[in-house]
Amino acid sequence: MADIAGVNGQREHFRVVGKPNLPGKLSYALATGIGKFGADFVVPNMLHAKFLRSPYANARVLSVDTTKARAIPGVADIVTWEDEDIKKLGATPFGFGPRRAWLDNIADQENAEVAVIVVAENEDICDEALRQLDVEWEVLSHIVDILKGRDPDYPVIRPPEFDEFPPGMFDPKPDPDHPKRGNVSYATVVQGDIEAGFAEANQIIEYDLKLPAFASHIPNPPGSVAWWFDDPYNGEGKSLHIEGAVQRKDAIGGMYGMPPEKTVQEGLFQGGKYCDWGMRKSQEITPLLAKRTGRPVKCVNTREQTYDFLMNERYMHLKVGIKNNGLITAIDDFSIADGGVQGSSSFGTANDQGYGPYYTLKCLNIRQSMDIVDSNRGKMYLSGQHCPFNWDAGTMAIYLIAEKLGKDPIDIAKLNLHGPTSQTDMNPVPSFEACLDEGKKLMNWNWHPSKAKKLPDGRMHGMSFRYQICPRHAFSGYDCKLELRRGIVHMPTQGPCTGIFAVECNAMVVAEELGLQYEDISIDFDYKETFTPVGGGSDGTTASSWAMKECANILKQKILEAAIEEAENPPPPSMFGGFGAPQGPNPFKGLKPEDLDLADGKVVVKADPAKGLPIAQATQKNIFATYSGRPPAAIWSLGMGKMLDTMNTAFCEVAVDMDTGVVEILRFGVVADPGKVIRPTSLESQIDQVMYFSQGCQLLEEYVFDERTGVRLTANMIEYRKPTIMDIPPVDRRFLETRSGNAAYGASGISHSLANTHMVIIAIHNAIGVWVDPPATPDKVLKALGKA
Amino acid sequence: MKPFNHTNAKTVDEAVTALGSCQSSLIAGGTDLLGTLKDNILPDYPSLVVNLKSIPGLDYIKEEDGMLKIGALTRIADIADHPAVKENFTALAQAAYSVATPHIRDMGTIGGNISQLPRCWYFRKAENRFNCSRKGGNECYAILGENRFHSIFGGMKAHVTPCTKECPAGTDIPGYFDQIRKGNWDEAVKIIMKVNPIAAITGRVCAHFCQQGCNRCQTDESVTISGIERTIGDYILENSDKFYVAPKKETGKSVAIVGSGPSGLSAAFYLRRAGNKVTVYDSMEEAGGMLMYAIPAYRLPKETVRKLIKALENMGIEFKLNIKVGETIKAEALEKEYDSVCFATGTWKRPVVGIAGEELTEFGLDFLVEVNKWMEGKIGSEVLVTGGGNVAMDVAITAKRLGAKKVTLACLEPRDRMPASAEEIARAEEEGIIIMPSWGLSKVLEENGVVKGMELKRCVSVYDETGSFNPEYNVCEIMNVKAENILMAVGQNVDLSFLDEKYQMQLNKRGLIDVSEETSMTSRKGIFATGDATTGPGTVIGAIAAGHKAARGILRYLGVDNTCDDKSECDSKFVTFDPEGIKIKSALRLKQLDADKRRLNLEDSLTPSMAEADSEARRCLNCGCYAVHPSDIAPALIALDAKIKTNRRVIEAENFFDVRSNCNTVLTADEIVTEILIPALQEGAKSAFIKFAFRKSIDFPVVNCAVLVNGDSPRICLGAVAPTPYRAYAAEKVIAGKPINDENAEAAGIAAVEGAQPFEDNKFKIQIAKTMVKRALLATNK
Repeated sequence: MADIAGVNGQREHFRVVGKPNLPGKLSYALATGIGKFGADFVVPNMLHAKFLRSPYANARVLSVDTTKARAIPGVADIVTWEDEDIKKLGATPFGFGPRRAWLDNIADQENAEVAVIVVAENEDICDEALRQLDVEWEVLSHIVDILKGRDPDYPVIRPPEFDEFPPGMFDPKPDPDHPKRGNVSYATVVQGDIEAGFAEANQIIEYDLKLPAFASHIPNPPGSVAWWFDDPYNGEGKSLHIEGAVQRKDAIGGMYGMPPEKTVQEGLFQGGKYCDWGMRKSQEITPLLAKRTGRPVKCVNTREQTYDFLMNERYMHLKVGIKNNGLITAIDDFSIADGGVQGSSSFGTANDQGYGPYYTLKCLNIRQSMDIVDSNRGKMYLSGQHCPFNWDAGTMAIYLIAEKLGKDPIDIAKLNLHGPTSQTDMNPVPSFEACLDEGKKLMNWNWHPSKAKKLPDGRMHGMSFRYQICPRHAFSGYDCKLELRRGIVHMPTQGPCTGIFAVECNAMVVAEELGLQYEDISIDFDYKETFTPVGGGSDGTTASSWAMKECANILKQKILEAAIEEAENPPPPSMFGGFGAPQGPNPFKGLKPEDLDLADGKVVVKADPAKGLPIAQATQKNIFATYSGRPPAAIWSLGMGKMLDTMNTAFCEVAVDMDTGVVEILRFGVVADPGKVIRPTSLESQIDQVMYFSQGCQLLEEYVFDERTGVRLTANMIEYRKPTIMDIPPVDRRFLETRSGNAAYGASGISHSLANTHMVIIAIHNAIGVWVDPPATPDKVLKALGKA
Repeated sequence: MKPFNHTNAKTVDEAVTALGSCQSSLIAGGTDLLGTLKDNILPDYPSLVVNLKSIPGLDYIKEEDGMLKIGALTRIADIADHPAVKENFTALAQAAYSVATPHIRDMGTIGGNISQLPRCWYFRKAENRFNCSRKGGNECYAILGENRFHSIFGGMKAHVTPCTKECPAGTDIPGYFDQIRKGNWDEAVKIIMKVNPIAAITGRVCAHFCQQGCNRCQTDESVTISGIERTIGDYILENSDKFYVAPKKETGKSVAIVGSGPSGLSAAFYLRRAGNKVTVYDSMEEAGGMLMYAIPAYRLPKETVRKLIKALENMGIEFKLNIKVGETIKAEALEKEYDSVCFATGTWKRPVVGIAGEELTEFGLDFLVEVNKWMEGKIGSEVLVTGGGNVAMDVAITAKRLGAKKVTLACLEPRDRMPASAEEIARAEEEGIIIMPSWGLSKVLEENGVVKGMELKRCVSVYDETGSFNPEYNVCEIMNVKAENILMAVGQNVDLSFLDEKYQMQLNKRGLIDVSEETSMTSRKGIFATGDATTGPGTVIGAIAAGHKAARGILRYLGVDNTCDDKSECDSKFVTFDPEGIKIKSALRLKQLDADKRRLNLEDSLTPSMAEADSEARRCLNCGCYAVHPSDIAPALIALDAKIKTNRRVIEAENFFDVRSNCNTVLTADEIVTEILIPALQEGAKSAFIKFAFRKSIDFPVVNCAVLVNGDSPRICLGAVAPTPYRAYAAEKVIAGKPINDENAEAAGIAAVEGAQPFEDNKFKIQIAKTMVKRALLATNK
């Protein structure tokens, strides 16, 4: 077990932490429909707003005549990109890519918001007003096939001013040594001596893989309702109330010069979406429209308008040098990647695989280079190719080496994985070894080469294996607060951010430390509070739990001190009732705080736990505890991915119907070491979600564009096929607890590290001996089999 | 969603009445309609939604009179769960169970399911982003777009293709191209001759508006329809004995046609083909009218016209030449002699422009008629041609080829609005003719009655805001063009010289013969008129279409059966194209003589060979709708030999599905499905249904298959492989009377996909369809 920092980090006996099936505080609201998203808010006298949306993949609005639209009864306001109010509007800090005006006349993807916003009494009138706009479009060349867009002779789609990046912006940035040409920017990162690495190799394998774009579809489309109101308690001037923009209410308030204390938000939900923290225009614009019209304004996207990418498309070619035993000596990794539209998020930096298996490999000679192609395919709001999905390139390398050498890929992985401290450390990683041992048992692992196993029903059997480190990127601190009020422990929090419902883990840790049950902790949602458990998915959850653990122990100390003080100096009866002094003699009289403990909801005497009082009787005080800080940095982050602690493994078995090309995932297996399981329900559901994610992007989900028009054809739940509940395979899970993480009790994030785009693809190859690019839909499988 | 009115119908009649009152839609479960309305996918939005579910008594399943009867409003879930359906009509129960999701099955009805609209992603794209052929637009975007889920057996015409729409005669161009691709040239001829009996002529001189409409223009180059037409036109003439045949039966009726231009010839052909005695009068020495006299031989060889006239004579049409009606013979005499008379006298008269010195100019048409004699002794002169149409081009080029030193052409229209075809303008420029667009005529420059040139004035606009011809000039901008000869080709007037005080007919405001829009009959009963005489100068193909129309009017007047005229012997259900051929981006270009080898009497270009024409026809997209029918229940009904009962009739399930604009059934606008009738299965018969989709729920079929194994008369129907459910007759034949085993089922699967013509991206559906047939058959053993 690692040397776990913080109070009770070494705790071995848990009453609450690790307890299964504890109900979620917010999931009740979601399950019952009580939870309100932006689209659900209705307030009196409310107007509605809609954007003009581009029917073209790339076009410029030359002019708009709004005369007819304004004449429609019920139209309250029309704003265009030339309006001074819009020109003054600045983007929120999480705008990505080059700076653009908040609203301009350029539509760089089909359905993009462009040029005009209409405000009317209802959405139908908005639609009619939009239809009545006389818009003069200039239709421009577009790119939805990035391989064609890469052609140097292809028309340049992006104005040159959009190639200028302000300082401090996310990547991609033009490489000064390899300036942008046509639609293509370039990036290259080299470590080690690539030529020497290949010279050292006995064999070279090369392979291509395509990482498809796939969706991060928000179940509840983003939107907001905003209004202005008089708020004399918080100074002069109007205050802003905005609902439906949970995570960014202060940032949006900032767009309108509003301090946090004058920006009100009471709702808790904006919809869960994987790693997407970007606000949409529909969320940011309502305060302006409300100010102009003097009435509340609601603006909500449709589902189709929110079919944004989670991952952009990428084609990769890899060249891997290996020794005859399978040891990798050099990797040359080249990608052609979709740069997306202007304003897309951080994307496609070369070395994005550094945080993946390339850093887990002993190999030191690695080159990554990338052609980043501008496109009109779509926008990503935050996530990029830096996501761990790219780690499949390494997973494929391991599989291909195994296939070539006739070995088990697990052995190849073990051979190439370096030790815990560095790429030159030859020791095994305990967490990895433990996951492998358990994984082999779980899966009855019996490796076979490709095309070697037929199931009794005639289908071909395939299997695959994948490992990953548990990355930690929760680098921010947490401002925790706990309060004992009338005997109840309250945990105030600003609530869930970006759909991360992680407060349960925090509450469990608090309960654990305070000798209470999980249900005893009152989670108080208040937008004015500062504590939020985010900071990197489950990584943030466990890291914030560490901070909350510290806070709980501060509170505990204060409770015990108060209990002693009140034992010595009983308070007078309260004029408003209250708990009053303890009945009978106070058992704590004459003791010191260190003689006491908290257990089963009581303050008890350590030496005789039968002696005790319920907390509410032990002290009548309202007691606050705060803690600001964060757990010690993870060794992963100290080595930026080159130091290994907690690991996870995933396995997949498939059956391929050779007549129809249908791939059935027989089961997923996951053996993960999250260090310490805090809330099994959260962890299990995260694993399930990640496997669902993996299944979807590898077998079903696909963005299809009409190449001539650039219009996206699969922006609805029928055409864009996410797996249904009937499609989802069993996911067998085993959780190990090596306590080697840096967060509460040695926990670490499991995060998205299990999501992948190629584990199923590799299993398919193992079944049929040919590669199928994801999504491996039956048509592609049959084509690969030569049957279509 | 846009607002609409909603009414709960209490009876079918009430629903029908409501339907007819305005733009309306039916809702019978709503699972298809609501999405359609919400996404705004259709060009027209209903102002009224008529709810059928409020009609009592249409939701039942009962076995009665040896039949299974299912009310049209029966919920799909009830069909899926019904014990008798599961036991005796297994395919239907299985099909119902495979529909969408439990919730949708609880809402959706069988009547709604079989009437649902296509699921094509172009058709369904929100905000009617693709106004495809299925919605009345011009194009099926799937043909050149994303078609992996579309038909593997071809498309169906949901509309008139834009090439046909642009053709004044309405030639079924994709239809005859299809026959050419199949090697059926004679069938292709039949299709083209349905509307155009002189393809050898139009192949050479038609303006080919069809090519402007060609959907290939969206991506590369129009199919060279003109070239293919010319090839097939020559093929027709070479085999004239086969295609210009005397009618098998004479009607005993006689018709006189005055004028042997394209309109007169067209009318003559269709009238003669219908069995009438046809006599064509013409004032010229040779028949053919403008074709013979106005169009230069380098564009249309005289021999081609003569061959055509000869072919028409061979089918029994009599030509009486050098007879000028009104002079040689009076119109009244014709009227007495014949059962009907048709005037197709054309526009041979010179118009008066009204400029000073106009009498010193020559009429371009006269020039063309007498071309060889006209230029005698004028070699080396400078010529000005006025006019911007094809006749002007012909005049200019002819003058040049006759040896004029310099030919200038001036016209009112700006370059991009000149009425001449682009290829004729290009031909003129290639031969050195100087074209001066946007210049109007001011006055003839002359000295002592000798032409010295023309003063031109700048034309700033030709048409006014109403679109009427009303040129405006900048008189300050003047230009003099030196010329010894001025040839006026600024229009022609109709020749109505046959009219006199005694013989009158009603004329319209433009001084043209006024005819019925519907029948082409003039104000004189039984007397018809057609072509330029009724419209002013027009195109050859327009004249042909007008002649055909007049023929139909005359046949109707005469009471002659015309059915053979409108029936095609080669109509097929699905249309196909050549998947390899459509990849060819460059259009066929006719081989041209080098400029220095061009002569007046030598055709400039060569007719494409049949192989070249065939290759070019393979570029045709044959623009049908390739969306598949999405219903799971439809194939089961067809396999079970069901009938669909409506408020008006009973329709065989197999005949129920059709492809029309915004519609997937044969139902008329006021027709509502009321009941499904399925005959009881014979003893021992078994049925099964199997669906292939990417997901286990919610998805529409990629392929589905219903089978009925019934001894010697099995029925197999595939769904989602064609625009309508596809009855696999070949597979039925293979399996008829045979035991259902692996081998026979597989053979049936292979037979089922015979003749499939997939796109590159949906070839996989062939493999799937094959497998589904096999597995569905084997499922009947379980």
